Amino acid sequence: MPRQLIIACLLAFGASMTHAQSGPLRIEITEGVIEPVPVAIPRFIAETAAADTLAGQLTELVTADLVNSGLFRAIPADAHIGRVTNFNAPVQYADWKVINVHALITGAVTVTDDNQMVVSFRLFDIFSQNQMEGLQFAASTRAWRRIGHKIADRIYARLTGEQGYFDSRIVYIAEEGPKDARKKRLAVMDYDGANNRYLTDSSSIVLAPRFSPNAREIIYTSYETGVPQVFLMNVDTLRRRLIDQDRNMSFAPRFSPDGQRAIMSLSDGRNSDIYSVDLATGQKTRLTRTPAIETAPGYSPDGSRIVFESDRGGGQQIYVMGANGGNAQRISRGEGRYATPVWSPRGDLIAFTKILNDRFHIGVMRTDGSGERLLTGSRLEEGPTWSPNGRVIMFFREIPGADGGPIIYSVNVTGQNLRKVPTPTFGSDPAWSNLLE
Amino acid sequence: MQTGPGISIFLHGAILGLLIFGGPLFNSDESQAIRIAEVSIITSDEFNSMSGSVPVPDAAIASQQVASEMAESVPDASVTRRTDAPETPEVPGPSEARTAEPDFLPDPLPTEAPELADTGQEATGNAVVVPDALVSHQDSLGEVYDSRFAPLWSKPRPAPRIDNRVNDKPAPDAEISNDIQAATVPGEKAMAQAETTEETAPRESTTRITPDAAPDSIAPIKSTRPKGRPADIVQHALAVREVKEKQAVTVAQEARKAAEAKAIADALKIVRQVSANPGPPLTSFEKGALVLAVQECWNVPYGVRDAGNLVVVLSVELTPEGELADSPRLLEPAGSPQGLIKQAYEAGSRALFRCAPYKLPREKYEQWKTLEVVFNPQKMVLR
Repeated sequence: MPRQLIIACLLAFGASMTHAQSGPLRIEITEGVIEPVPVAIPRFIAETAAADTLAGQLTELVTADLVNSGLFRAIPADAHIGRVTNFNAPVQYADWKVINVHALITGAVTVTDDNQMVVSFRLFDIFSQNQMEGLQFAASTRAWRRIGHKIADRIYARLTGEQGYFDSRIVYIAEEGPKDARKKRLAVMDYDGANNRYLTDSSSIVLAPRFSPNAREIIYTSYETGVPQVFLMNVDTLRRRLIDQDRNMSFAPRFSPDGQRAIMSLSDGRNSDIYSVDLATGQKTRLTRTPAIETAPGYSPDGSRIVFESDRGGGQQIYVMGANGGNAQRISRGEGRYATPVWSPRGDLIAFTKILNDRFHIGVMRTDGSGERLLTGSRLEEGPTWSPNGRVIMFFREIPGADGGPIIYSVNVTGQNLRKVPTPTFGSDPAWSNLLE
Repeated sequence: MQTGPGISIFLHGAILGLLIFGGPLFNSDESQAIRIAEVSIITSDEFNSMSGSVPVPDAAIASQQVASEMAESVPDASVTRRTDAPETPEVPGPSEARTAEPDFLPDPLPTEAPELADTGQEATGNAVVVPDALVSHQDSLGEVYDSRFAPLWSKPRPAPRIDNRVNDKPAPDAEISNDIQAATVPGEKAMAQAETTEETAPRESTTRITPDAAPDSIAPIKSTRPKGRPADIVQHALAVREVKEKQAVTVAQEARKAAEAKAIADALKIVRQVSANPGPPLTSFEKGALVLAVQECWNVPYGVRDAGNLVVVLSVELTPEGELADSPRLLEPAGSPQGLIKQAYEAGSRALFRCAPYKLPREKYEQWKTLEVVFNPQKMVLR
C-alpha cells in the first residue's frame, strides 16, 4: 500500500508539474488604485538673475495646475532629499525614490534683456529611471502663465494619457451689485481665474456666452436692443455684431464644431424653435417645428447630432436629433426636469442640469440617456460646461442670502475634486474654451 | 505419744522442706528460658544441601541438554506400558527422521513444565510414589537414565500409582482371549522380576460383530521404533508448508515488485523530465499575493481607465532577490508603444518597479524569474 501510494503521488506530482506551468509565470491584474500620483517639482532653476522671480512663479503655477486637477500630489519641498542645482546634472533617482516620488519635474528659466524668456523642463520617471519628457518654450515674459499652463498640460498628458486643460480660458457673466439691480458683464479669464478681463460694460444684460472653437470669438445673448438677441464678439478687438438680422428674439447660442455655424433658439414671441445659422451669410435653417419651447441646443463634437431641451412631451426633458433636424429622441428618462444639456468634447457623455424636488443637480449621462450620474446638488445650480479634455465640468451655484450670488465651481467628471473657481466678482454661466493655440 | 500431731508435724515439715529445698525439682527445663542468638539467612541451595535434598539443576538448561542427547534414544513413554521386553531400537538417520511422515499425531505436550522434585519425591503418606513409567525407563536404560534429565516434554502421563498398603486396587480389565485363564498373583519376591500375566476372560456374547484383532487402544501392538519424533514431524511439516508457501508467495511478490519498480521508474522519469527545467510550482496563495502586490501599485491613468479595453502584457526578468533585473518589455500589443498604449505600458512598468522587491519563494525561482503581467483595466472604466 505505501508503495502504491508513493507511485500515485509521484505520478500526480509529475502530472501537476506538467500542467502547472509550461512557460513564464503569468498573472493578470484587473484592479488597480486611483490615487494622486506623487510628484516632486523642485524650484525651477533661474539661469539668469532676472529669471529668479519667474522661476518661482512658474514652479508654483505648474504645481498648482497639477495638484488642482486632483490627479497629482506634490511632495513638499522640505521633504526633498535630492537637490537640483543644475538643470543638466544627472538625477539621483534614489533620493527621490526613497520619498516615494513617482515623477520628478525639473525646470530652468532664462530671461533676456528684451523681456524674452526661455523655459525648459524635464519629466523623469523615478522608478524606471528615465526621462519621459523634455521641452523648451520661448515667449515674452508677459506670457509666463501660459507657458506654465502649457508645461503642466504636457506633464498631465504624459502621465495620464489624456490631453490637459490648463492652457484654456473661461468666459462667464461677472455679476455684482444688489440682487434687484445686479450688473452683469461679459468677462474672460484663465481657467484658474487669473487674467480676468471684462469684455462688456454693465449697461445691458448679457447671458450665456460661448467660445468659438478657436477661443477668439464669443457668441452671447444681449438685451442691449431691448429684446434678447445673439451677438458675435471678437475677444481681442471686442468688435461685435448681431447674428440674426431679422431682429427676432434669439438666445442660447453655441458654435458648431467647425466654427462656421451657430445653433440657437429663435422666438416669435409665442413659440421658440431651434435654428442653425450660417455665420458668414446669416442664412438660417429651422431644425424643429413644434409648438413646444425648445432651447439650449448644442452640437455633438463631430457635428452630426444636436442635443437640446424641450417640453414637447409635457415636461422639460432632453432630446437628441440629427444635425439637420428631423426626429428627436428623448434621452432623459429619470424623474424631475432636465435642462441645459452639453455634449462632452470627448463625445461620450452629456452633462445636464436636473431639477428634482426643488433641488438642482449637475449630472452626466451617456448619449443614449443611460448611465445617469449626479455629480453635485444644491438649492440652485446650473449651466455645466466641459473642460477641453472632457474630464472636468464647470458650473455655477447660487449662494442664498441677501449678500449671496452665483459662484463658479469645477468638479471632476467622477464627482470628486469640487473646487471653487476664483473670480473677482460673482460669476455665472461659465463656458470653457478649447485649449489655446 | 500422739500419732495425729506427729503426722501433722511431719507433713508440715515435709511441705516446708519441699518448698525450701525442692525449688530445682520444680524448675522444669532450662529450654524454657529465652535465648537470644544470631540467625544467619541461608539460601535455598544451602538449605537443600543441609537437609540432604538432591541438588536441583537449572531446569531450562537441563531440559534442553537432555532433549538433544536423548532425542533418538528415549522411546515414547506410551510404549513403556507394554509388558513385552523392548526390542533394540533402530535409530533412524537424521535425514530419514526429517523426511518421514508421521503415522499419527503425537499426544499434546503438557503445557506446564513440572518440577523434577515433584516427579521424583512426591509422597503420599509415608510412601514414595514413583511413576511407573519412570521405573520402566530406569529398567530399560539402566544407569544411563537419570530422572533429573528427563525432558519436560516427554514426561509421562500420570499412571496408576502403586501403593503397597492398598488392597482394593481396581482390577484391570480382562484381556480378550480364547482361553480362560485365571489371573496370576505374583509373590512378594517375584514382584521385581516375575513376569505378570494379566487376567483374561471369554469373549462376551454380543449381536455386534467385533473384529478379532480390534485393538483396545491406539497403542501399536509391536513396539517399533517410531519413524520420527512428533516434535520434529510437526516442525518439519510446518517447515515444509512454510517453504511451499514461501515459494508461492515469492513468485507473486517478485512479479509485483517488478511491476512496481517499473511504475516507480516511469514516474521518476516524468518527474525528472519536468524538474529539469522549472522548480516546484507556485501555490495559488503565492500567486495571489503577487497579484495583490502589483495591484496595489498599479495606479491606473485616466486615459487608460477610460479606454476600457486597453490591455497590455508586460514581461520582466526578476533577480532571485525579487528585484527587476531590467526594465519591463511590452509583449502585447506588439510594436513600439504609441498613444495610450504607451501610457498603459508606462503605468504597468511603474507598478512593477514600485512594488519590487517581490517576496517570492527562492526555491521556486525558476518558476518566477520571468514574469508576465497582464494589465487589464476593464474593471476600472470611468463610466
